[in-house]
Amino acid sequence: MTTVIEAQGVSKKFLLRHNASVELKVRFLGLLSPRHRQSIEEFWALKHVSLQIARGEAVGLIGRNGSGKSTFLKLIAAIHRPTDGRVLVARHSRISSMIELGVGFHPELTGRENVFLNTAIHGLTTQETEVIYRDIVSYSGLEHFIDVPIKNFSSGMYMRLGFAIAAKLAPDILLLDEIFAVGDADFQQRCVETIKGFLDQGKTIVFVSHSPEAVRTICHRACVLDHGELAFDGDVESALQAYSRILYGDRHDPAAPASPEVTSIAPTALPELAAEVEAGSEDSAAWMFDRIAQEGLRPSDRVLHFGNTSVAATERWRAYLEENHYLRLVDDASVFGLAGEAELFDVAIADSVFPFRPFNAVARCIASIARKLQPSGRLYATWFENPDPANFEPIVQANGITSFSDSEPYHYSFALIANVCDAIGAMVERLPSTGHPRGESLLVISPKR
Amino acid sequence: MSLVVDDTVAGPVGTAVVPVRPSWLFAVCLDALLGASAYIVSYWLRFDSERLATFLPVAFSTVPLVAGAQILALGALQAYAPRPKASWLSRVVAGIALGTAASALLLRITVGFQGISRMALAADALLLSIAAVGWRGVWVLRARVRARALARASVGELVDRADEMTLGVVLVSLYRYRSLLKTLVLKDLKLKYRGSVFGFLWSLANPLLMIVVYTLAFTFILGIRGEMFVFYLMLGQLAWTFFASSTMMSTGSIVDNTGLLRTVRFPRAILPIATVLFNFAQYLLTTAVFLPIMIVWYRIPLVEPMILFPAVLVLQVAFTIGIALILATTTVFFRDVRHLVEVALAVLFWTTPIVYELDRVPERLRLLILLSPMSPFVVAYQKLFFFREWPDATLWLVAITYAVGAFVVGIALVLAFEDSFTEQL
Repeated sequence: MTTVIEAQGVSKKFLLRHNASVELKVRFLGLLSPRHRQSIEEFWALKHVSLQIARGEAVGLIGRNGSGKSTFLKLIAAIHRPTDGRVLVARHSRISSMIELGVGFHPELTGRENVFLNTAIHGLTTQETEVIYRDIVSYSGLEHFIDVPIKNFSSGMYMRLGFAIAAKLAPDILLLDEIFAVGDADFQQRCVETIKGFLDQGKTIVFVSHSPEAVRTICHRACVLDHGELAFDGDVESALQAYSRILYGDRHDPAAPASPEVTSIAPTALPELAAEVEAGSEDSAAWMFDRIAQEGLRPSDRVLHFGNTSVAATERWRAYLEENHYLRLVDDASVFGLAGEAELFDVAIADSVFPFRPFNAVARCIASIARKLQPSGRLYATWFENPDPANFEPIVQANGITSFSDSEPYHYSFALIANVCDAIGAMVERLPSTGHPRGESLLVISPKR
Repeated sequence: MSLVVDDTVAGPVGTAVVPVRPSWLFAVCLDALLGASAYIVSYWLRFDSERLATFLPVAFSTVPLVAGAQILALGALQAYAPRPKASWLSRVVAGIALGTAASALLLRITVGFQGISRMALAADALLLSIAAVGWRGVWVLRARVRARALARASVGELVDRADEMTLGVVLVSLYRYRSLLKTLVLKDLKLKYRGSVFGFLWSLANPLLMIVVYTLAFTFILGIRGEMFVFYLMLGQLAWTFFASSTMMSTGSIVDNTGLLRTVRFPRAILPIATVLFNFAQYLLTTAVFLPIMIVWYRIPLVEPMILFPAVLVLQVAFTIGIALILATTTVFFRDVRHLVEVALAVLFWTTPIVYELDRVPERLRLLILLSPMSPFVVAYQKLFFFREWPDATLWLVAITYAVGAFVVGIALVLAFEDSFTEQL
């Protein structure tokens, strides 16, 4: 196996400037009051990371927010330079990065002009682009819009064009950052197919994701980063376990594959109630289905599901609901990109989303989902509750997981959530929970009072 | 840093490497030599041949004092420190200004200014600054070239992509990225006139209006009647517009493309260069319209000096690219540059002989006006087309120094700091 990417003891330091301003006014204030004083904090995004990636490998990088995954990707792409150590890449290899799709686009230019601009930035000549131009257009499926200024594109079209360009650049090394956090199910399906095609051609892929399922689908190997250090490097399943140990402190495995007894349930035969879920089942996706069924789920309901789930559970939802009534998204970020979905949903599920989002993201999530719900619809969300708003200490939850007010997994006070719902005119209630596998409680939010 | 090169030291500028001078002794000697030559050259620029003979002995006798004071001031401002601070560039310039001022004061107190030209002293400070910053820029480039060579020698199949790209910027990768350059320039040209009814005609309207206004003001209000004044004005005005809009646009060329910088690796120097070339294209188009009209209208004979037109164009483009690179880089770190440029351009317009003739400037100020950044180029155009004579050696000396100096410093500055752009933005 030939090595194509090699990181040798790579460290990366960022300087965080608090009260950052070089303005004289601010500097002068700083002399007078410590509150305005500028302080510079060193932040080590990566610490002594060494790893080798061979040609044809598909490596997943997992870790919590801020663990250094994206920084590592940018070091490979040579967008940042390491503070210490070095990152080497095979000579003459073309690197294509899908770090932020469509960022280099100019809104006033047409799709065609943007294709040429974007490929030129990646180092292609006009002649080389002309060769792949037709491919890019047909792959993006935007033949009718290609001569329209890109400012008139929807966000989905934007991404399709960006992805098509990145895919057709014929890279030797493909860097992907949270690509499944965007786009609809169709787009994601397309991504997976393209990426598998690359792997068949012996290309190398480095893939950053929060989604265990996506990492399982694509990668042969996964590295877990924790606070900038390489915590684990090895096969995908062990890596996901290592990751969940980091998240939950050795207790539960949120990303475990659906357990056999769940998959064996006939899709159409609904089990009685959640009480039937064995205490030992660690699959919250299966639990969730039963729990929502208990709340009165109908096959005619349109369901939007994001957060934690498994393949088996997805099948169950699909089997139970009418065709095309189930939309599953890997990340809540995609909710913001749902503008194109004309029909509203009856049920939305956010499983293990709130504990892994800072509060502003939780608030944004509630607000944007509320807009996507029928007036009679409900959002079911699991969360960790902080019974005392004045308490900032870690709390040991029912299942022994420790939650924090300032880091993952987060806990929030009910008053805080209620305030957000109040502000957007929604109503929130705590539901009696019957044993979420990770001990999270359940909320139900309805958009209209 | 990726490579340990004997002549680079990791400076405390974010994570950028600030290459330093080889040794302080070498640096001091070189600066002293350049200081002495700059002083003598300033006298040569200031006086014509016969008066030069009377002034030169005094110049030679005061050289040690002036150059010595400049070296001391440079040392005092830590320009020779083994690990230079982020502000080394400004330290060099400030050191030279301080040293020159100190020596002028000293001369004033001791012997008075008898036989000493104050204008030459000022010109000396300016020329020495360019030379001192320029050779340090060359050093940066040299360090990069050596780093690249080492990288090639030491690592086999794997390479540090950042190194590969950085050096390549100089010429090779500019050539490799010529498509990008072309696309960027065409994009700006297309976007500028997209949706407007008159399109390219607007580019002609702006200089035309300025020429009309100045002509009215000067001939009818101030009553100055130059022969072919409109033609004279046009030569300077068009060249000035090219310079002014290039520098204004270049300050934002990197800062305003944050998204691009954060997702793709490409030679950062491309962005300011594309801005300059876009303005250059406009300049060529407007010149191609106005110049033939003027030549036909005033029945100007075509003479031999006019074949030097492309040479002056090349020098001006190199100079403007250099200035654009310097401004684009410094704007990343100090956003004030943008506002500073606006103010500076307003002043520089009047210190450049565009609406007046260089030869009408009082003799003792003439050198300073000639040393104003755009003057050598504007005057060269006027010499070629208006006076229809060969530009003299002084003009070429200043123009070439400016063009080469700005270009080298600009490229070196981008190379030294481009790695920390993405963190600063």
